[in-house]
Amino acid sequence: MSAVTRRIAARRAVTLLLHGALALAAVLTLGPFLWIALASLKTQIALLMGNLAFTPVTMNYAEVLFGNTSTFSTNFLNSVIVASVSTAIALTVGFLAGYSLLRMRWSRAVVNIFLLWTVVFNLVPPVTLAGAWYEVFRMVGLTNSLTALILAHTTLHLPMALWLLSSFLREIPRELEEAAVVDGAGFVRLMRRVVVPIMMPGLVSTGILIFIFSWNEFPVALALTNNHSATVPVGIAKFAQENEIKYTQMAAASVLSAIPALLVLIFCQRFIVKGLTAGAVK
Amino acid sequence: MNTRFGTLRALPLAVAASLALWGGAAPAQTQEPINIVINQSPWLEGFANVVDLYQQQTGNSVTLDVNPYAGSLEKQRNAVRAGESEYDILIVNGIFYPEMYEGGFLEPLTDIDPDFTLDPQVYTFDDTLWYDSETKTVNAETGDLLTIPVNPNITMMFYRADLYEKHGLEKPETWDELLANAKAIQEAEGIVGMKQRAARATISISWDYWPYLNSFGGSLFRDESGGDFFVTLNSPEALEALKMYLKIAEEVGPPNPASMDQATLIQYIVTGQAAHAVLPVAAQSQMDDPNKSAVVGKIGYMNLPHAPGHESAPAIGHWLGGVPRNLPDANKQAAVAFLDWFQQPETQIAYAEMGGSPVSAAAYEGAFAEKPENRYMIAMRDALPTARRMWTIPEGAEIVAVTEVGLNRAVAGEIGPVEALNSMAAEIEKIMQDAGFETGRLPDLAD
Amino acid sequence: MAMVQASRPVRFLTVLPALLFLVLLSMLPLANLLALSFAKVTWAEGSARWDWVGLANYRALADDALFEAGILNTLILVVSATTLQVGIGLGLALICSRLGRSARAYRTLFLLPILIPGIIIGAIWKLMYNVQFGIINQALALVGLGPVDWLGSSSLALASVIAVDVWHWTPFSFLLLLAAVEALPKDVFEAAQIDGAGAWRTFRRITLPLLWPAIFTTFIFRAIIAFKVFDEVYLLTGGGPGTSTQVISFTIYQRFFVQDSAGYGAAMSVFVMFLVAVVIGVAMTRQKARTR
Repeated sequence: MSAVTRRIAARRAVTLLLHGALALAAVLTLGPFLWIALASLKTQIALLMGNLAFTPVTMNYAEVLFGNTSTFSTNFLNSVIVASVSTAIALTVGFLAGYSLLRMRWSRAVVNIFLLWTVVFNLVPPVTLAGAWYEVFRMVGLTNSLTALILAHTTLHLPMALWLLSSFLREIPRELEEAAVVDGAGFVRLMRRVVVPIMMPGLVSTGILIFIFSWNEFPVALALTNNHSATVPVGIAKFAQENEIKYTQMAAASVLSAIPALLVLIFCQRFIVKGLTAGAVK
Repeated sequence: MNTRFGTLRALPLAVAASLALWGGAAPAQTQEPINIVINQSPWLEGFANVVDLYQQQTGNSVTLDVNPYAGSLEKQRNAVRAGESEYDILIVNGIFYPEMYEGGFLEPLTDIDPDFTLDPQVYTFDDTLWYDSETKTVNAETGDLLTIPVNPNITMMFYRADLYEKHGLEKPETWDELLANAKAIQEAEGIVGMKQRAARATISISWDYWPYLNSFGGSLFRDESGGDFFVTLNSPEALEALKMYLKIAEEVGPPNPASMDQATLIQYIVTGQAAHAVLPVAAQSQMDDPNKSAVVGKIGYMNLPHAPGHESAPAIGHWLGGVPRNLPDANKQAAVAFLDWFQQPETQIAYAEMGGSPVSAAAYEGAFAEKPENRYMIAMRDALPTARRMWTIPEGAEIVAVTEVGLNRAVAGEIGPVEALNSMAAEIEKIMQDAGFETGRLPDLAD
Repeated sequence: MAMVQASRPVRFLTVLPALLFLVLLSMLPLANLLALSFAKVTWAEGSARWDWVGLANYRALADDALFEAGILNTLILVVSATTLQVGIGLGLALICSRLGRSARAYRTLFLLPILIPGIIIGAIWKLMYNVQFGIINQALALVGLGPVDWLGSSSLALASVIAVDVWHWTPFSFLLLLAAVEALPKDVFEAAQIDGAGAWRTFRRITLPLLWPAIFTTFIFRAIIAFKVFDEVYLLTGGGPGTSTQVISFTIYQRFFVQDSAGYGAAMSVFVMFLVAVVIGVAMTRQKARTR
């Protein structure tokens, strides 16, 4: 055997090993996921008995979607609205501020205060903000409204948007912008024609993260919503009742609730990979 | 949301009931629409049905704001502390109601409607419906009627009636007899003799221990109703009670009893892995449902055991309906009109028949309770009059944080029972002192 | 270096929305929290009374067993969970990047756990950990082990919670680190290969130093979120058995909301924020010094 073929064989072995490692990680990641999906097809007692063989039932999905006391479809719609609108606002606001702070000759002090704030605000446990926010929204007549929750979620995730987008922005070569400015482009045109297209992958991957965070956020949504405006996690928490935890319905609800994020993830995967290669964290 | 809950199932019943009791078509609305805040629970559907019935009979409009159990207390706090409450009726938890009473957030029902009287058949749950704002005590003699009960959730002994029959066991009167029965079944069947709810949560092991404490003649304070808040949790009676609790955990409990929460207890019971468990009556709806239980028809219910010479003392975890003070008069009137309708014997019987949990003896002593599937109601007849509240002051929320940790550590074996009671009593005395009560505590128990 | 020229209004208008959110919805509530931390709030006759108590709320922290346990457990959780997540995430990112197109499908797959709300993760893992019926003990029984009371024994419970956190949040580290790995300059590695450097040496001498800033940022980012862990613990253990899984945001939740001690709860939040800010400040300064 020549040195070259030995090298190739060794390479193959390493590749195989690496694939093995990935497969193992995939099983560990997917296992609980599959288990949740299976649980959603069992009766409560079949789940509690730990039956490995079982007859699948659709009653959990029926109960979650059409049950007498179920509000899941309302919750779902609310979540879609809250997560997408708050993501859009957080991205826009965060992008504008991030761009401005990095490129528009703000004094270092101003930039630092903003960036420091993103860190400090991130340290606050959201549970402690909920009470104060309730007060603020009550005073302006937004109690229990989707608007209130959208504003709260935007505030909650704005630091992350600002932080991530700033690190994306730092990666973009200034020359392109300078060239555009020399060509006489105004601010809006500069953004539309040059900066936003380059930033697209970064915007999308930041957006996906914020969307997921907003979609899953629980304590603030719990405090700021009522029956009409509750989001999916709040609706799901209803299955954990004082005297009965409806595990199988919870599982069905969680399978349903993962769908939008899953769709986003699958369809935007191209963007994510691109966005990531643009260098999210440096 | 309009209460479309359970309309399909309830409709025939509701129509029948309304025809039989009141007759005629739905009358015109006479009261303001009201909004009730309630939490999701196994008994919600029954309550929603009775609300539907009210709407059909009176033409008045009622909406339910249903929240997860987690966070429902904060919602009510927010509402009563606002300029005007968004809710017309609060369904308050029987553990945290003192905060609403002492804060002056609820209007006495008789101030809203001077003709309002509590129906004599309604259970009064250790006088927790009345509050004396002068002496700041829960007291039926001197207090105002602030709430009526809406749900009768108290603890009961869930047990394997089939195994009792198989082994020829008698229903236990005392804790020792219970222990003996649990041991007999554990040895014969190889299942856990008795599951206790010894986990630590907002309120878990305390709710499980209190019936031991009370049924051994112990108490948290010397005389709460009389305004005497001298701490007696470190009494010899309390020690006896705790030793019994630990003995049951050790001899007929599962391994690692300190992590057993209510969900786990229910899980062990419905899968046939435990012979006894003290559970809230609200859990009974799961026992005979073949989709949720492997022991359909096998579970029996009885009042809790007690120490010789004392009474049983199941713990109260009921729900109370009250009317916030920060409401327009018309809303208060409408709220009281609903509560008054709700407490009537006819409504209570109809409520039971639509799958609700009635709070009036009218329902528990009726023919409905005699049906085999309603066998829990027979046990409730005995248990309801003996049910005991845990505390009557808002500081209870702080006190229970102390007892949850102290009792749980004793079960986990981190500290002994004497040390647990002494340290809890000392911490509770400090809480009471800081809150401005005249207090004190018994001398430390000796090892 | 030429800067983009922007007119004054554009310069302000771009920052204004962020500023509005910052002042109205984050500074005001935080100012409120800070004020609360020096007060004791009581409710009587339907209205609030604030009594200023100075530093009493802060002093009371010293005697609070739940606070102490919360800080300690949270620190253990943050350090161990974050280290594991960054380690595993980095490993997976390196492998995915090296295998290139053939590992494409894994990239999406590895992100799945962050799609599930924390409360559900708590409920589902609680069942999976179940002594009698849980899948984990069932799997152990197949190889003749167990059953293990993962959540019931005081010595194991925190480790079990950490395992759940690692499962839930490794995708996050993976996502951020994959970005950094993909952005590594290819020519450096080619050069190293020509020099005949071994895989381990290349990793130690080239990959790790190049990735270090990203690893550090991911660690900090993740640690901050881990410090606020709440949803998972809420249904998984409720802080027990004993105080073995009591995390700090759970203590804050109990003091602030359940017991309604807003002043004391606020003091605890402020103190914790301060503590974390100091730790992170120190870490960042050292990191800066190191890169220089």
